[in-house]
Amino acid sequence: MSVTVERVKEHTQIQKRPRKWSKLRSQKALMIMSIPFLVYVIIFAYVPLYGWMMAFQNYKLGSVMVENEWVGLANFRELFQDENFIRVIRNTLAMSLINLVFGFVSSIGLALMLNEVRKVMFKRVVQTVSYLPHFLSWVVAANLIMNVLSIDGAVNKLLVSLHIIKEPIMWLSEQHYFWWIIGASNVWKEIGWSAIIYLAAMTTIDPSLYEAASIDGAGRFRKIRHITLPGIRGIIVILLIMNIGHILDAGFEQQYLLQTPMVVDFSETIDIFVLKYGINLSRFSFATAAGIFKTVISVVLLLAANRMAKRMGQERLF
Amino acid sequence: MSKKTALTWIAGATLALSMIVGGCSTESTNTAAGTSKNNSSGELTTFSYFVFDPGDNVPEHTKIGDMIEQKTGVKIKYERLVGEKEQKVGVMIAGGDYPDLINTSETVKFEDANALIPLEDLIEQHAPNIKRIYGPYWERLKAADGHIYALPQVAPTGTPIKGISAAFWIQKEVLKDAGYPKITTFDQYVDVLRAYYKKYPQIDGADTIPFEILTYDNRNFTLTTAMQFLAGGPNDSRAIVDPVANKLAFYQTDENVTKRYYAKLHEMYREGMIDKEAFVMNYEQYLAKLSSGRVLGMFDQKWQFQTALDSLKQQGKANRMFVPLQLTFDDSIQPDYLDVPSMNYNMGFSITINAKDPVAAIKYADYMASEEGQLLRNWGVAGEDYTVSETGRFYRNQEQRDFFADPKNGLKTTGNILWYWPGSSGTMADGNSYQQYQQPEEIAAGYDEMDSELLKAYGVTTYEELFDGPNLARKYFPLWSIELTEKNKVFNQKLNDINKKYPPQMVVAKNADDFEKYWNEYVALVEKLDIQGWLDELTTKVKDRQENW
Repeated sequence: MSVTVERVKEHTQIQKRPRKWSKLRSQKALMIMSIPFLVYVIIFAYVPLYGWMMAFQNYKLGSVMVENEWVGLANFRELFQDENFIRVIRNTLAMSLINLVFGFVSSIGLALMLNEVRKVMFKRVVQTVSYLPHFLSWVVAANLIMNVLSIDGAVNKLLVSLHIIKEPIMWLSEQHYFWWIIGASNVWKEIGWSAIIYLAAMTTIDPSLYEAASIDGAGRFRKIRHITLPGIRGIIVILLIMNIGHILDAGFEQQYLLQTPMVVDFSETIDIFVLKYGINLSRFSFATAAGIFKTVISVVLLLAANRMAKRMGQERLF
Repeated sequence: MSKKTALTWIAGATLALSMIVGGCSTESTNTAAGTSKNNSSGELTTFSYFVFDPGDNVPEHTKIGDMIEQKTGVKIKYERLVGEKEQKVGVMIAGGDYPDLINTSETVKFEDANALIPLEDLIEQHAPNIKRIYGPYWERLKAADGHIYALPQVAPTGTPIKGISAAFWIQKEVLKDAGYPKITTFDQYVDVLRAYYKKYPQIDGADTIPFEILTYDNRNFTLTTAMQFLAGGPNDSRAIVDPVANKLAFYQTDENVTKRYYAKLHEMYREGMIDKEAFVMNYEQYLAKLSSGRVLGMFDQKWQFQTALDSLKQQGKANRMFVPLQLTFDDSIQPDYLDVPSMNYNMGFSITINAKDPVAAIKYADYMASEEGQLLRNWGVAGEDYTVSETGRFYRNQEQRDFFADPKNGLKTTGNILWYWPGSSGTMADGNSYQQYQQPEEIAAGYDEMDSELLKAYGVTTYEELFDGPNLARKYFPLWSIELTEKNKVFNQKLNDINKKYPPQMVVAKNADDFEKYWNEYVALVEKLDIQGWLDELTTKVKDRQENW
C-alpha cells in the first residue's frame, strides 16, 4: 500500500513543481532528509516488483528470471477459471468486512467507555487486560479458542448452565457460525490494541469544550456524540481508508488454524488458496498472479475510499 | 522515449539491481564458508548441514559427535527446519543460498535448480562403505537424468525389519475384557468395540469414545485412505496396485471399498460410536483424547500418536495403550499392512554446489556409513551406552534404557540427529540390528505384563508376528513416493480438498438418504477431475519401476 501512497505523492509533487519552485528550494534541507526514505521505498517496495514478471511466465525455481518461458495471461486465466476462486473471494470479503465493522465498532466503543472512566486504576487494568491477547500468536490463540468452543469447553458449559441452550453446540462444525467466530475472536484479540490509538486521539480534545458543554447542560451521551466522536473523526476516517486497502487480507493464520473439515467451504481465504495451489506445489507463477490480483484490487479500493472521503469533505490519506 | 525503449531500460535497471542484490547474497555465503573453514587450528574442516525436519537445536558439542569429529577431522554444523518446509525450500533456491550439505524430501526441486552435485563418481572413488550399502539399489537411486543426487536415509540389509505403522488400533483393556478374541475383519472389530462401550459407557469419569478419527489439516488421510487396507491394499496412496498385472485401481469412488467404509462409519456415528468432535478438533485435542485413555480404537499411523502412547505409559495407564490389528472387509481378502522394505527415493542426503570440498564431505558420510560409524551413532559406546552379552547380542541394561528414555540425554549424547546420514537398516552380519530400537531384545524390553499376557494369548512373542509379511512383489513401493508432473500434483491437491469436505459430511449425515446425497455429490465432483490422466502417469511410472528395479 505504501507503494501507492508514495507514487501518488510523487505525482502531486510533479504537478505542483512549477508553481512552488521557490518554496521547494527553500525546503532543501527537508528534501535531503527525505532522500533516505525514498531510497528505502525504492529498494523495498519498487525493486521487488520486478518479481511480478513471474506471473506472466512459467517460472522454474532457481532459474534466471528473464530466461523463463513467457505464457502471457495463462496464470491469470487459470486463477479466474478455478471454481474455488469465487468461493475463496467471497469468504475473504465476508470475513474482512465482518472484521472491519466489528473491529471499528468494538474498539471505538471501548475507547469511548474508557475515556469516561475516571478511576485511573480501573482504566489501567481494563486496558492491560484487553490488549494482552494482541501479543499471543495465533497458534496459541487458536488452541485456546478451540478448547473454549469444544463440547465440554467453557462456552458450552456456561450456556447450558444458564439454560440458554439444552445440548452443547459444536461451534466449529457449523458453517454459518465460522465467519462470526472469526470476527468475534478477532475482536477479543485486537480490541484493546486498536483502542489505544483512539484513546490517544481523545486526549488531544480540548477539555474546555467539555466544560462549555456541561455549562450548556449537555449530559454524558451528548458530550460523547457532539464532542468526543467529532474530535476523533479524522483518525477514524484515515484508519478506515487504510483498512479498506487491506480488505483482501482477511488473514491466513486465523482461518488456517481454526478451520475444520466441516466448515472448509466458508473458511478458505485467498491466502490459504495461494499457499495450497501455489507455493506448496512450487507454482510460484500462479501464486504471483494471485498476489498481483490482490494488489490491484487493494489499490483500486484504497483510491476509491480516499476519493469518497475527499468528496465528503473529510480528512483523507493524500 | 518510445514504449519499447522504456521497457528495456526498466528491465535493464531491474536486472542490474537484482544482480547487486544477488551478488550480495553470494558474497555473504563466501565469507561464511571462509570463516567456517578455519584451518589454523588442527586442520578441522567444517560443513554446514541443513536437515529439512524440525527438531531440537543440535548442541555444538555432543559425546558421539565429538568422537566422530576427532576420528574424521570434520566438524558438522547442523541446522534444522523451523516453520514451513516448502517455504524454506523456495527461499533457499530463490536466493541460491545453500548450505554445504542438505537432507530433504524435496530433492527434485533442488535438482531442477541445479543445486546438487552428482554423487556417483564421488562414491565410486571415495566411499566404499556407501557403495557396499547402496550398491544393490544403484539404478533406483538415479534421477531422471541418470545421476545420483541423494542417498535415502537407510538401505535395507540382512534380515529386513518388520515395522508396524499403519493399522487399526485397539486398547489392550478392550481385548482383555473380550477374552482375547481373534479379530480379522472390520465388522468384528466394531462389534468388540461396541460390546465394551455398552459395558463401560464411562472410563475414569469421562464418556467412552469407541472410535476416534483424526481429520485435522493434512492428517485427514487417516479417514480417507484407511479403506485401502480393508480392501487388501498396502500403504500406497489413492490407488490399489496389482503388482503382477501392473494395474492400478482408483478406489476413492469405488462403491465396494470407499462407500462401504464410509457407510459403516455413518452407521457407527448414528449409533454414537464415533467421537462427535472427530471432525472439529485439532491435532493437539486428538492427542489429548488418546492420552486420556477413553478412546477404544482408531485407524492411524503409529508415528502420529507415539506421544499419546508415551503419555499413557507415564500416567500408569499401560492397559489403555493400543495394540495394532490387521483388518480387512472380510476374511477372503489378504491383508497387506506392512511396508515393503525399501527406500524413499528422491530424498535424503545430498551435497550442494556450495560445498567447497565434496571429497571430504563424501568421505565423512562414508565414515558414518561404515560399521564402526553406524555402531557409534545408532548404539553408542559399548559398555557406556549399551551392553554386549556373552553371546554377542547387543542390549541396553535398565539404567541405560532409563537414561535414553529422556530425549534430553539423547540430545547430549548424539544430538538426536545422527540418523540423518546414509546407513543400513535390518541386521548386521552378526545378527544384531543396526538400529537399537529394532533389536528384538529392546522391543521385548518395552513390553509390560499385560503385553506378555496378550501376546501369549495370541501365541506370538512380538506384535510384529501378528502381521503378515510385506508383499515383496511390490517392487515399486510406495506409490506415494513417485514424483508426479505439476498437472497431477494439482489433481492431488484438488482431490485433497474434496476429501477434506465430503467424507466427514457423509459420516455425520442425518440419515441414509442424506448419506446417499453426499456420496453422489462427492463422486460427481471427483469424477470431474482428470482421474484417467493421473492413473496413466502413475501406471507408466509403476511399470517402469517394476521392470527396471
